[in-house]
Amino acid sequence: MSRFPFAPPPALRPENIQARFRSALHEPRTAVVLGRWLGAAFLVCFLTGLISHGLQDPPGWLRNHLPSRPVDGYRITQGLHVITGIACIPLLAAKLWTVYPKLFTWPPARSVLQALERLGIALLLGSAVLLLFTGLLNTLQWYPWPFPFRQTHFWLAWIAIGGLLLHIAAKAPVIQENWRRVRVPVVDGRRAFLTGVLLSVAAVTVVTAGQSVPWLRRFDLLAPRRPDLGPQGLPVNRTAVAAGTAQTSGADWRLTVTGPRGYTLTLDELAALPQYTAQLPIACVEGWSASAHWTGVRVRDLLDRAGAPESARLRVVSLEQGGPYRTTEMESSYAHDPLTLLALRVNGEVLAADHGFPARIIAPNRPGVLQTKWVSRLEVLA
Amino acid sequence: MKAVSEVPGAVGTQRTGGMVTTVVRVVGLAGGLALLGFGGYGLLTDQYVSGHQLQVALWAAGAIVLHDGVWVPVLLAAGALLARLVPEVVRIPVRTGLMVAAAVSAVGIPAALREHDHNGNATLLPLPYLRNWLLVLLVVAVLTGLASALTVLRDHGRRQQARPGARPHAAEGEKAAMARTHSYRTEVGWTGNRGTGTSDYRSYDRSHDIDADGRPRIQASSDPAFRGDPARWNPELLLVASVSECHMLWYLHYCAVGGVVVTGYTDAAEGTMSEDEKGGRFTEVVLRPRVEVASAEMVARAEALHADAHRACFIANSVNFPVRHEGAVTVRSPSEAEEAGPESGLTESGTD
Repeated sequence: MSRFPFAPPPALRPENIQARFRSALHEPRTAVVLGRWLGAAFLVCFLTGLISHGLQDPPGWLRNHLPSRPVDGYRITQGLHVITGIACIPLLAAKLWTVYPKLFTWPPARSVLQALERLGIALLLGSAVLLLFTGLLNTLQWYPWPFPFRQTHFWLAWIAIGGLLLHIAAKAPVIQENWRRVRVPVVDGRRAFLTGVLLSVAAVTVVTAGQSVPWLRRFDLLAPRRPDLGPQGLPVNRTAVAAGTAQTSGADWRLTVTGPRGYTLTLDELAALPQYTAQLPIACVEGWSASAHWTGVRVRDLLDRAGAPESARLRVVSLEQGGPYRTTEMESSYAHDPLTLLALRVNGEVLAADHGFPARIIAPNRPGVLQTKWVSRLEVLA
Repeated sequence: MKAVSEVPGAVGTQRTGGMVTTVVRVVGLAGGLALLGFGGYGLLTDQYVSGHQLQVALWAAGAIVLHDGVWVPVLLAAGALLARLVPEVVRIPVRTGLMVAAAVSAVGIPAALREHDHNGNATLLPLPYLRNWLLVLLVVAVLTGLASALTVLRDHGRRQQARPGARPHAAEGEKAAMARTHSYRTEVGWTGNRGTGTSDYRSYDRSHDIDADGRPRIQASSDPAFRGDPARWNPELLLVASVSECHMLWYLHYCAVGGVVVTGYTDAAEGTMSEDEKGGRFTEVVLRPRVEVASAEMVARAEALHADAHRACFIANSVNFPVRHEGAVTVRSPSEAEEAGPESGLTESGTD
């Protein structure tokens, strides 16, 4: 057994430090059970995050294949993203507590491979904690860090999932040995501890999930949103004041549609066109969502009138003074969906300024930031 | 580290598991490196993150330092305090309540901190979060109190049932919620009647047979110091052997599931008993396990696992004298162990 010249004094020798952790729960079976739950939650977060990224910022090859169904797709996937992300907080804390004595392995590594494995764990831990922290604070729209949220969160997710796969590969024998309960002995208190972790997950879920799950709304005590609180009973992400559109007058407003046979309509003319009502959710990447009855003109009717072809994509321009979503693009699958509306009313009332008066886009399975408000132009793209 | 299933003599099911393990390792390694590379490349080349990469790295490192260096030590201190201040019977409900409270606080405190800070958007953070957080903590506290009271009542009921005089197996029928119970039956038959029975303390042999359903009989006696037969086992030896073998079995298990490949194990255990005016008692058992492991990087882990085995050992947990272990771990690869044969190295009987 090799001894290092700088070996620490007996009281601080690694086996002595590790032996000072008295709980019997710093053991592999507990780690494997928690790891399974946490791994599943991470995977759900990763996949639902990719879905949102794909819908918001599609790479070129995907652009023409974005589905406008299921209607509630974005609402469910992003609700799930935030619910599982919040569930990860107690799960990750419990998992890390269980394996914490491993931190004091000495010497830190006995081979290059082990050094790389521990480096991989550092990447996994750093990215995972930062992902949960930035994700949670993003739902509060609180940004105390100096880097951009969305892109950093996105790339860190790849690092975390990559680190997780490496970690699973490195620990595969231990995982296999502890996969089934019958193969490991009963450890006093393990079941009670795991039950406590599940209760913690249940508690944080119950007090926050009401922002996206309607039947949990009455327990929504700590979520940053309540889906029924806001003008006309709906939350908003960008107010008319913030967008500089609070003073928009219906009389002066015009809708311009460009295309092979472009035209301009007043609000009265638009309201005189055939009106449709659709029940659609407004759903945000921050997890909250709310369903409402929207009434307005079908976007496909407006495109037909402009002589746009079936395959036409659309650029939507808002009256907003600035911001990254002042103009958005809409793929043909959305533009031609019979549920996609240029809405003038919500739940029977004329749109409030905060909801995009005089007209806004509302489409199924679509990120909230792309449901452009205060629309002034629709440009048909070839 | 070698996969556990590669150890010679692994049984068939483990070999199948070994295949799965190998596939998991190869796929995990290749896929993990690919995703890690993709994420790292993206972070370095993304036009929005550009110029912020060092900040991201520092924040991630800070997250590790704060978690491992501040949060977990606080948690451990809380756990130690809990063990000292809270009676054992209610420790589980109290600990569970604290876990739930901590989890709820992790989401409640940030919201409470930002309660009035909604950037002019009244639909963001529209609730009284400080009040709600305290309300949730109150509910958790009340439920914890109720659960603790129930636990105390149930524990009291169990004590009543298990009071002296109650039949030892009475608890078996009861559905014990906490743990599985096992029962062990042995039969001891005295064989030392020389014809006059115990008419005099010199008139009988201490010899007896120990039987347990279908197992080889143990011919036993008492310690020669108490007129026993030195050629036979005695209760004191069996007790020391029991502590020693129990420790070994737990130890081998923890090694097997903890990635340590043990290739040899001998334990020259020794117990000390002292007599007093009432009779006597064991004052200590010292285990001296000499363990051989397959490779050098397992040594530190192998040394540390004795503590786990000691904590788990059924017998050591049941006796009222300390069980110490003075282990030594050396390296010998599995192939060497096979060549040398199972007998080599086992020179000490551990019972002298």
